[in-house]
Amino acid sequence: MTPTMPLKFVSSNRRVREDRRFVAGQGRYVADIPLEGLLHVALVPSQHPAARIVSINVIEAMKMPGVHYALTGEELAKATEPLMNGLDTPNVRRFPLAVGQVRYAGEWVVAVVAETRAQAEDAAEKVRIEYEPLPYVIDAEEALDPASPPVHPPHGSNLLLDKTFIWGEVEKHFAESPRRLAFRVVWGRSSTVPIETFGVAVKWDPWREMLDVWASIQMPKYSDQIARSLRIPLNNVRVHQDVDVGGSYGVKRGIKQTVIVSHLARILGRPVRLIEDRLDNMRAGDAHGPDRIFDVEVAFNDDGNPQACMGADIEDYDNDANLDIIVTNFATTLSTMLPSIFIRDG
Amino acid sequence: MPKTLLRLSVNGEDHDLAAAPHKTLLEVLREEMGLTGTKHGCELGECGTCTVLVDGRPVLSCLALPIELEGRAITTVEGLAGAGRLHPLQQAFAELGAAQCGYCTPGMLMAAKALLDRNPTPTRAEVVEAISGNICRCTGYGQIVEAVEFAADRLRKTNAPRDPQAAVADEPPVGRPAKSKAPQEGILEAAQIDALRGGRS
Repeated sequence: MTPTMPLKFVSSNRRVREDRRFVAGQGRYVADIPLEGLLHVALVPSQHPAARIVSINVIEAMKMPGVHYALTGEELAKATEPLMNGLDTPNVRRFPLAVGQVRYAGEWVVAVVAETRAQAEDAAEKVRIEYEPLPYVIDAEEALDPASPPVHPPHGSNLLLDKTFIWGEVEKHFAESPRRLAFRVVWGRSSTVPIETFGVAVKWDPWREMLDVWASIQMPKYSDQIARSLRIPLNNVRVHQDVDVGGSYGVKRGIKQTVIVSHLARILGRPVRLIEDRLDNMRAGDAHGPDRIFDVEVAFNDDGNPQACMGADIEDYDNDANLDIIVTNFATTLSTMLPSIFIRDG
Repeated sequence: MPKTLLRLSVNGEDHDLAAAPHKTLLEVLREEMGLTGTKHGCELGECGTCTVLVDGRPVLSCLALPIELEGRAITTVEGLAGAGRLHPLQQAFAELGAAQCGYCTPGMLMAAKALLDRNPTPTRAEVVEAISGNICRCTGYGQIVEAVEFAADRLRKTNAPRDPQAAVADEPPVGRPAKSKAPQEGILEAAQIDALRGGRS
């Protein structure tokens, strides 16, 4: 290419191809997918931050008009594998619906299926759950105290990951730098909030053993995780990629929601859809980013250029109910900016 | 619950249909009439995603009951475009990148149409106020406001009485290649965009 050749894309005004259908009202989001015989799910959340589930009574709920099923965590756990655990913590097991114990307020306990979403919601109010409240702590540093109640008792503590990342010659740079600054940064719980909550609709073909999935999804390895949890081959999960996503900003993962509706579609023989309402989404969807506490010390020159950074980062994934991935983004971002860093991440 | 017979005027056509009386206009449009362009958002009247027009005024269809709207003129986003041709507002939204994920877009368009129908020359503050009930979580408000202003400008020019002198003045100078005056999607001149953004930056 010669320097005088005009550039085709740089500084030219390119529009994404989706625009025309979006402005015409012809976007095709998960709630717009027509499926014959579709059933709808409403979820029963826990009102307790920590409690043992003593009993679940769905008799009255099942008598409500249009109701097809009320699914508990115990039943779902028997039929599926726990959700993927991205850490070396085999005793921390996560399920789409709570099993035996709830670990945060809003955690989904029962899924009620009915002909319409309104019927499912009415019936969900009839589910009776007896809880035995358990002690809990809210503060992340307090949670690390060995005396604090563990969120996952089989794991034995609230520490899921304790890892040190070192780039460069940290001690040398600190020794050579004339100035230091130590400070604490606290990052509160945060979330992006797309206008469209997460939604998923699935259809199970029992004769081909094929699961068709339409979802508001941007999740890597989505079909892999669904197949693994449902104990079916990856080839038997068909995720339709022609579904528009009404905003995500990284929070639409949807594994547990998809496992719930997939199991229901398999046992009921009808397509099943779950679209989070705003409360489902805010309390127990995939949206929560962790609290983070950074204790940082920076070494820098007289001219103000930072040379090295040492830090301890506590990431509070709350009751760790719905997050698959621990992100050490603080450390990795800094590593691109400084000659050397030392981070203890937990 | 037994269904009730309804006659609704939607996008210029009368529709006879049966729906449970507690169903919202949003539900009836989407589920009974297949008009899925209007979206569920908060379902509490806070996000504006479900905005439609009733007799030209923006209404939150998640809070409206169809049984109260018989005989009223309901317009949805599907009623904006005609025969494959976009409304100037839709065209402007597409050209200026005012639709990102597209989910709030139908509601934004309807709120903007209500504004331009009653006020062809809105100030930027009036545009902002007109869409203040519509939330965009992709944070694209800048482009949305620009698109409404751009569409207003185009509509004014389209609707202005023809002035023979102005037509002559718009002819390209002799010796230079004539450019098509018809705006094409995605080829908005950089100078036009800069002019629009000039007021903000």
